[in-house]
Amino acid sequence: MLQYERSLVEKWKDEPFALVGVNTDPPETLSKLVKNGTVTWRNFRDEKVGGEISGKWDIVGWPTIYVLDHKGVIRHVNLHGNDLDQALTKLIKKAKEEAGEGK
Amino acid sequence: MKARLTMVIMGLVIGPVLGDGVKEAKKLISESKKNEVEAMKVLDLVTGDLTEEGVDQVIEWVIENGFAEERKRVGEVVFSVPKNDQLILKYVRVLGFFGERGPLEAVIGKLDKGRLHQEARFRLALLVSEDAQRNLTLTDAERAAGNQEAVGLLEKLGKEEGLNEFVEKWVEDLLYKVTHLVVGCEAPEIEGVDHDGNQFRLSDYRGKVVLLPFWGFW
Repeated sequence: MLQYERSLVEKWKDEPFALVGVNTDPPETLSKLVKNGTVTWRNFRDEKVGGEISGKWDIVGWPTIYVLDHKGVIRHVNLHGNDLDQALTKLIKKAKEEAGEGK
Repeated sequence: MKARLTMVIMGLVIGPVLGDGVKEAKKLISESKKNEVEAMKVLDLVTGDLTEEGVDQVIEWVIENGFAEERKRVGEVVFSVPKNDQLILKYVRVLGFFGERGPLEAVIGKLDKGRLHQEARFRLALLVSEDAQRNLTLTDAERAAGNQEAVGLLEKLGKEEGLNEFVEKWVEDLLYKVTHLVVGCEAPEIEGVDHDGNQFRLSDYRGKVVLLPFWGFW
């Protein structure tokens, strides 16, 4: 699973894309995963299942994956594989177009 | 009592055709294997015996094991058995779970005001909101309309007098969810710390497409 996430970070490193996690492991586990290079993206520490952030977002299953567009609007929930890839590609394209128009 | 006596007498006269439906249905249930459910047949057997003792268990079995057609038909019989709120509650929950809007609305139309009526209406709102979220073929406008309908149902239910405290909490939570956490909503802000304890916010990433997984190994 994390290999796939790393590949997304690498693939879109020069694009308007960010992977931001909310991690429910104990802080020392997360630190270790970042330091040994397993996790290559930034995470909010939620420290436990049903932590404060997960609670606010009413998360009942793990992992739960949200996709937000460049305006911070929720666009998809729990897309996987090809569907996720396509959705992200489309949103990134739109983000670039709108950034271009703003210039 | 009189009707029951008549049934017994008729049973004596014309044999096991009348009054034995429940017994027959139970036999069929006990013999049926999981992969050969005969819920419609079971319903046929008890249709003439809806006031007989034990019919509740048979109906309950159909609710749990039947498919859409049987579940729909249960709506016609569940109000004909002696009043049993537990049975109706189970029916309401199963309809909600399977997303069967028509039969659920039909039940709501038949219920008196009270706890059960409130829960059934909550289940309908939940179903409407889930439909709006799960259906990937919807356009943004259609999805927004679905969410809006759920919000309307919840707001109306939330204002009801004598609202059960559990239903009230469910309504409150779902209302928050459909107005903050579903597709089309602006994502709630997250403020927190990363692995090194450095503060950051979700809104720091405005301008970028964000993939936001809630994850962990524990």
